[in-house]
Amino acid sequence: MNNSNKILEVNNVFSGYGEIEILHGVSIDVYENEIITIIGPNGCGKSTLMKTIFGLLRPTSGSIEFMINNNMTPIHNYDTENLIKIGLSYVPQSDNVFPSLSIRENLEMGAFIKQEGMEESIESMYELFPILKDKKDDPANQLSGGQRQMLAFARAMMLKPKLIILDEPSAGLAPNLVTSVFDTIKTIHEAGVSILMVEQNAKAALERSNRGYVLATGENKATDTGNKLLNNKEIASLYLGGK
Amino acid sequence: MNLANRINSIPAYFKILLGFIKNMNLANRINSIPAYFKILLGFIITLSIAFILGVQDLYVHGMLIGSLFALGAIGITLLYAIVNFAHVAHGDFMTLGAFLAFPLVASVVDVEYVSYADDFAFTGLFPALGLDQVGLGPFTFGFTILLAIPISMFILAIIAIGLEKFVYRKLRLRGSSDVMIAMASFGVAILLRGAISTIFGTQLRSYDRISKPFLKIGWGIDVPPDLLFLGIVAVTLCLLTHYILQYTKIGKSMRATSDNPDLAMVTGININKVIMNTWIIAAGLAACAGILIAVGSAQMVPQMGWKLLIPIFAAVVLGGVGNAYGAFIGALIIGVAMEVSTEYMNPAYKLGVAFTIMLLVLTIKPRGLFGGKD
Repeated sequence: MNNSNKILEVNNVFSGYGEIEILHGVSIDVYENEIITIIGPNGCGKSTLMKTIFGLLRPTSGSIEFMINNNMTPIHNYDTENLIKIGLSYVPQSDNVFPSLSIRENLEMGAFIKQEGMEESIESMYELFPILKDKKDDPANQLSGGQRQMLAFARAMMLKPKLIILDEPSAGLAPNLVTSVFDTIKTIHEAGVSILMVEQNAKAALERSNRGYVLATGENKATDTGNKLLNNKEIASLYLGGK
Repeated sequence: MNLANRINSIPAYFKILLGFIKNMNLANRINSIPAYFKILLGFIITLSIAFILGVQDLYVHGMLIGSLFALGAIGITLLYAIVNFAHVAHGDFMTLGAFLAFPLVASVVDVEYVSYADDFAFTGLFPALGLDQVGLGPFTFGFTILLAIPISMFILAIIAIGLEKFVYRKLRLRGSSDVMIAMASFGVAILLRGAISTIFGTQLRSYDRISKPFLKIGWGIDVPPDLLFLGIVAVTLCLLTHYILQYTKIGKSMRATSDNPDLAMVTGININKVIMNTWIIAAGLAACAGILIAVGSAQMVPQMGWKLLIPIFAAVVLGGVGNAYGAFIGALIIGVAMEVSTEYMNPAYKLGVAFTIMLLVLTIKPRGLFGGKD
């Protein structure tokens, strides 16, 4: 897997909110067709990292590069619209659908910046998630938690991104839904997208990931394949709730 | 305490009745009726009551006047939903819309200017071009007013864009609270009203008009043909707004932003553009409302918008703040309530009636009839 192309490189990034620095030099690589999970204790800067990669926060130093036409290009000055254009997509942690818009309209919003090919994209999302087709005219606030997450992922998939950034996809869901959300992630991954996610539910996420990163206090602590991180006694006791 | 005895002593028919009520599951059933059906039912019931009480004439008047209010109410509610503040200057937007049309259509515009300068008078633009027709068909006004409406809408939209760019956006970027921005719009309101009084003076004015007889519809309903026409224009614009909101990219991005601005941003929607579109729609509707109300009431003064703001805000709150459809229905209800009340009490209490209705509804449905935005 690792001999394929690198698509995202986060290099020694410092970032935070205004005066408060939260990331003190974080580095992350994502290769094509990988699922990467970032774990770490609360407040370690996982969400901040996601927001920084998606341009919602600007890094104070370091670089973020993304593969555009086979060249790694710095993207940390891109605005949201351009990030979407080059193939990035972001699913926020909560409130990630438009509640009063219909399911179809939610999907349309996913293709807001580029309307051509929208109908085909919507059809392929309906194929991927048939439940969304059955309820396509219902407002999104009538969906269950798991279906809502499906819709959020489908919206992010509308412009066929190369990389989807998921901020805690299983947060706030009932325990029995967590597995179904990870199944959904598997589904969109099989559709040919790389996935970079932050997850509280570390065990379930790492089991399904190619590689994982452990962050603590805004710095890289460890990185390895998902299974090796799970079996690493020290990490397990520190970050996975121990044995 | 002999429960079995007590239950036995309840008459059988009462028990059956109670069972029926329980089985009907009333609250659930009422909730499952679609909203448009409830509205239709409410309309039919209230109209029937109006006929029984013999106030059908006032009821129809109220509906038409309410539809004019709706133009203002929809603007306020959209601005609240998307830009997130109560636009207090909306009434004065309406006044300004009416006064922008004045130098276009009036045969003589006497400008008071400021008190120490000489007053002067000129012929309005359209009459100067030889378009000074009044009394088109059964109406008191001429077709020139119909030309003036889009022009006034356009100019007011530009003024709104200017205010957004140089006042409201600046305040937002500096992190002013929504209350602060509402207060700023209060300042804008006073500024606009002052400017209108300074330029056009404070006396009662009107577009050129000639009197026309009322239209006898039958069943004891007589309406001025003007009002009927104005109501149709207003409803058409409301339908156009509905079309924009539901079926166009602009409208969908507005609804998305109102739903969840953060998500709209990460979807690539340009929030500033959405806000601009909202201002354009709100200002356009306000300008049209101002002209229509000035035609309908055959008079205009610089304070007219300020007075209209009260029933319009009542309509917005009644329908659920931030809900455009609620604002429309709310405006119709307020219009009818205000007009019908004049049958039973001094017309000076019209506004009191509007607010009493609003308060009564809010005690039962605190988020307005159709649920607003949080």
